[in-house]
Amino acid sequence: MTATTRITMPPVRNDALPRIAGGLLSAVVASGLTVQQLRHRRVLRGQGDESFFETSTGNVLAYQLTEAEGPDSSPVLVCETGLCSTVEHWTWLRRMLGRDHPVLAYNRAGYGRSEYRLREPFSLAAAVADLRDLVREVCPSRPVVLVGHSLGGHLTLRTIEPLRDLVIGVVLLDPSHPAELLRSRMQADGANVLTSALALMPESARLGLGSLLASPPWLRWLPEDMRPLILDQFRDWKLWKATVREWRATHTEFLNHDGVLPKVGVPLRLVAAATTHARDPIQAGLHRELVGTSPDGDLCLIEDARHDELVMNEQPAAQVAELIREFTVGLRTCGLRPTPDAPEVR
Amino acid sequence: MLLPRTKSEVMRRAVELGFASWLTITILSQHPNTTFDRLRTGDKVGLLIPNWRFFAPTPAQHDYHLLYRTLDTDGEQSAWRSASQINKRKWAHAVWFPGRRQEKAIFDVCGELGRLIVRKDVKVTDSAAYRLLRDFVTRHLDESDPRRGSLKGFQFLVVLYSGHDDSEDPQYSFISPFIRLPEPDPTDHADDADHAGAADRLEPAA
Repeated sequence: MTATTRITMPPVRNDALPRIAGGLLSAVVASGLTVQQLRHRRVLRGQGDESFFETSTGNVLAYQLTEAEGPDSSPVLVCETGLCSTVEHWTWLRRMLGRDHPVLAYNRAGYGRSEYRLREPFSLAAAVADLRDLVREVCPSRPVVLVGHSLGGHLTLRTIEPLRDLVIGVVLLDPSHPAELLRSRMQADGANVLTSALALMPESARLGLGSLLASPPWLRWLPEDMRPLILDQFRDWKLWKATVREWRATHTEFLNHDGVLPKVGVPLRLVAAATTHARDPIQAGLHRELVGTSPDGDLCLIEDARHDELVMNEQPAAQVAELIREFTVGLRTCGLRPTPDAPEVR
Repeated sequence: MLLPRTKSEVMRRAVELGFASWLTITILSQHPNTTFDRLRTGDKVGLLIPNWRFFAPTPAQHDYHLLYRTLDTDGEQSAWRSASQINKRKWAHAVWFPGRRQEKAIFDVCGELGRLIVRKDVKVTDSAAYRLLRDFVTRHLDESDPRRGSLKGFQFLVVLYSGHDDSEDPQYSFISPFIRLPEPDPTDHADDADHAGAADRLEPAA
């Protein structure tokens, strides 16, 4: 007969850690969603002084029209932002130019306080129609100079024709060229990177992960009082949804570009970042081609500046503002004339 | 009972909470888009938050090639030559492949240089990546170029190339200024870059 001894082991298994981690993760997700809701409300509140206009496409645009500080006969400067960009990014330029020019700034449909309500699939033509309607509504009988950055440059070029009785000049800031994806390897590679980078942005931000977006390095370039709103916009899904929608349309249209550039029958000034031209000589050639579409075009380079800095960084923006000022003075010297007919340029 | 009663229990709970927080932060730092890496900005050494993404979502699709050309004391410039090479893979490499370390180092340093050249706040020629590549080429010249004694200096070029896909053109990522070589000395390496003067005598890279 053998004796058996029962040994009682203390419980060694401990499931507390996965439970705590699960609880923490749930708490983080819940607070992320709450913070996202609060942030989205702040984005919808915007700067608080915007006016609204419903365009023929059904989109509602939030805009700000500021008059020059003194009596002035300057044309209205109409600001057209680039992709993934809002009027708040243009604060330096708007403040500098607003001293002696009326300035009309607006967010395209889906950005900031502007609402996207178009039911049909989005195309860049809808953005052009929105801009046309807004200018006709807000400054129906005033001469205007369109100022567009990046994709906004391309959109302004396309808006010259439908506003040919009002537009007296156009300033392009490091603009996109509709053939750039077909002719520039660097731009095509950049487009692929952008497509991949944007893939999960709107959904991730909607799920409350926007708080995990690191503060972008360019934020410190902008005026301090605007940074909180711009950071809110950057972490909110609305900016990314609008960006993805516009990027898909831009990508498709640029890849199917037929080689015809929009008609430009007015003086044109193209201001490029020297870095853009140094890094991609083909883009420099495309810019020269855009300048050639105007009977009176010129190209200026801002040294030691990058693409986004032209509008966002104070020092390059000051140089850009001076070039725009010089351009509008030149227009007044020559007399304010509406757009004459211009041939199509290939 | 939720509240710990003994000191050892408090310690246990603290350790559990610490590890659970670490796990949570790690999970939150695996978004495929690295723009969502805000929590990683607090990890200054880059080792505290594990990265489970490895090569996702965009794996490397190119090799880096480090090329150089020299200028001798007679003013003759050489053709572009390779300072590094990508070894053709063999089955034996699965077991023994010490040369892979050099390939990987060149890849990482060239990648780092590529990230630095777009930054305005960095002087590339002062960076560790630049100095490593400069010294690598200098050592290569010291060890394997029979004309080393008559060389005045060199210039290096970083090229991105897919390797397997001939239809894709190589991309020039970075070209250095002219770098003056010291008198041949096995214990010494290159001087500082000469940004003007001799570089003008070299023809453009492309």
